[in-house]
Amino acid sequence: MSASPFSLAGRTILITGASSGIGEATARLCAAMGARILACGRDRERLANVVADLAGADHQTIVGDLTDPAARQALVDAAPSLDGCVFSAGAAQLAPMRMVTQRHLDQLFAVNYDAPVLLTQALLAKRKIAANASLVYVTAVAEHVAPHATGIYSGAKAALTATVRTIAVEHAKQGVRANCVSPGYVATPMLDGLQNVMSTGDKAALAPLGMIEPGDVAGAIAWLLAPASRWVSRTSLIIDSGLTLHVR
Amino acid sequence: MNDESSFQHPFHLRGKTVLVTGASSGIGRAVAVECARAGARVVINGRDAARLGDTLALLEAGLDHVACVADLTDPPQMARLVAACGELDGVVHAAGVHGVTPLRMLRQSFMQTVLDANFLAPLMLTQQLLAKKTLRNGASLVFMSSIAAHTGTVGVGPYSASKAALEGMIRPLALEIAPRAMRANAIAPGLVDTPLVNDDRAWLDEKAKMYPLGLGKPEDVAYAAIYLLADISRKVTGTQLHLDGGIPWT
Repeated sequence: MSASPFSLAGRTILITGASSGIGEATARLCAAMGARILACGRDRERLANVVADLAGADHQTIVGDLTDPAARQALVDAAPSLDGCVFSAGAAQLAPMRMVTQRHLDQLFAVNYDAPVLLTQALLAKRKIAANASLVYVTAVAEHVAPHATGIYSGAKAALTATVRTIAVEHAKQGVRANCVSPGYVATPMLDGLQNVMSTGDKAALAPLGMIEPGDVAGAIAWLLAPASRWVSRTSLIIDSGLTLHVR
Repeated sequence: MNDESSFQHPFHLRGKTVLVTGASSGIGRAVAVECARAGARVVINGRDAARLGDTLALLEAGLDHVACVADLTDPPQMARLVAACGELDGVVHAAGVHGVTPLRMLRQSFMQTVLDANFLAPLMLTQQLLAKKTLRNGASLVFMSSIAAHTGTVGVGPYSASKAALEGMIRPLALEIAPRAMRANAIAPGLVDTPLVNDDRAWLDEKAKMYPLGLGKPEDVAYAAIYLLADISRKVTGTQLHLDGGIPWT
């Protein structure tokens, strides 16, 4: 065997949501493993700071909100041929079912479902996904357990998981793989944002192996991007610290 | 931060001792070889002394690897292995047997032999390792399940049942060992080209057409085991890692 199956050297990888949380940790790890990163996020300054700090050279940034069709188009136009894509841009909002509105539903689906799915469509249509590329989608273990007030968030993530299976089966001929990582509560700015509506610390304390750090999820994503997982596709890897063991 | 030369990726097992059962051929042998290459000291177990010796010779030199011949369906031999292991940071239960017969022709004695090898041996080895305090805090236990625990194939009932039993045991085990930061996960591979299944090449080639990414190689399973053994997966527990070339099933 020549190259290490755990190296990303020579690979170009798109990471959405790269300016913070799981996306940021993934950019750091993948760059350190030798990848050239195309980092996408909404906050220009934070994104620039993340990329300035990455190992290696020739990384690229593209600022934009991927729920905006024009931003997706700009990203697709700017993208070189991609050996990997990590769809980690996402948003969570809570609403009990009796208070769900069309607006809540549209917002959560726009970020968590429409954006990654339509970006994938455009990248495939414009032939920006290289043969043997690995696509990794960040979902949430909520897709399985759907606790209180997460009906629409869980639904959007479950919908994404289902669509990823189709992407995988349709593009296996080119050796393209598509998988999900399905994390529990991860210590990210997104989770901090929910502090005023739920006690996230209490929830995380229920997990037998404790709070999950962004780097834990990044490790799973990096494994799914690397040649080491060349036979893994159409699956979802749960990283939940044991949180949902009693209900799945 | 920009110093690439000092970075070592997190998919390594340096400083760990890992027990691999079924290491005399197929998936177990590849797991042992790749774990040693990833930096682990490896304790290998199998039933065939000569073939286990061949595996030992394949291991990356430098660490004090150990081979221990034992049939894990025999309690005294299992006890000997547990005594020989020393302290462990990981276990990969790769030993397993075929279990193929249509239900109307199934004999209870056959079912028992399949359960003994595929379910009771890894279960009771885990019990012994826990009872004898052989597992270090943070240890990772990896069980070899199969896609057959989730899908239906004519005649494969006894094998499927034995692997489903194994997966059923993993979630309670994961909860019981979590206070010591220990983890338990399964790998559920589809068809991997190993001596267990490749005696009929025509059948295997026909089956391969079902797999969008082709048949698996033993190394594919080994790399999944390394991920689950390494500290980078410290928050992954009680799961089945599906490794099946993207074969359509849900």
